[in-house]
Amino acid sequence: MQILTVRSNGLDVALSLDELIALNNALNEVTNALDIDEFETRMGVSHEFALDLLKQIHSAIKSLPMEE
Amino acid sequence: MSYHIPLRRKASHNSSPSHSTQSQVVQPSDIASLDHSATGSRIGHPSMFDPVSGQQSQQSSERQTPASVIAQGSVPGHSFDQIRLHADDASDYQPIRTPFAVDTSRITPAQTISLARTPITPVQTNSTTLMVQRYKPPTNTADDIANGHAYNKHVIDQQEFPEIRNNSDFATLIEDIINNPEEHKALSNGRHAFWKNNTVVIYNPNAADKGTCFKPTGGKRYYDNLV
Repeated sequence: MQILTVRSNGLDVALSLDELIALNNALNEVTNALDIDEFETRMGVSHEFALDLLKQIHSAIKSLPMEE
Repeated sequence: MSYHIPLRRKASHNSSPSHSTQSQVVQPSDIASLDHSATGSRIGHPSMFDPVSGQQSQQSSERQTPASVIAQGSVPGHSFDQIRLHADDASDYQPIRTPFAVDTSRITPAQTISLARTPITPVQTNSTTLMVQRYKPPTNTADDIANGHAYNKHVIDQQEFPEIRNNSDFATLIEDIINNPEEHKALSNGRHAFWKNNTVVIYNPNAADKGTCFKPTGGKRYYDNLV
């Protein structure tokens, strides 16, 4: 991961495909594979927020050109 | 300098019965005697072979070529072995325009090699339905997964498969999902995911027990988001 810009409310970062895959699959595990009763308490965000982030990362990966 | 161009026409099924096939056969020697010039009057021939009458006829003002004879349909059901084109000498060579249309589309050697190298696995089946060869992990993958961590975690501890009584049952279930999945996709790092009946099998060649099998709480959404 490469930090491109530091902002007051966040960062602009560059992520490799492997890094995107790691984030995607980690989010997928906690949101869709594990039955976590205390999800928001332990994750710090709601289940819906995590699912929406997963959706955005997954779409970003799918938008990458595929290798032949 | 001469050029030999093979030209064949299959026998026509709707030839008129009044035409005697034997009487209309054009011998290669007859055709070879013709001079079909590509350069007009420079290489001309005063006579023209009439394939119907089998005789030489005087050249008309408009030259007749075998292709035009065929196009007129006057010689149904005959085979022409070759047309010989003559030029005066090789030093005066010019590109020859054939007197008939030639389909120049060809499969280039490069494409041929590419096609020949395309891996195709034949599949024997009695079904007339189109079939696509699916990816299948190595033999014993189902046994490896069924005897790995997945059995204790998902069958014993979390009781996701109440119908499974032992490792053999679990291996049978995994084998069925791998061989007859509702969906399958390749994942990163050589892994593969198989989905069937709300159950996912992930084959991981890099893991000691070759993968896992479980029912994700998120259902199909889990499978869809795997990459």
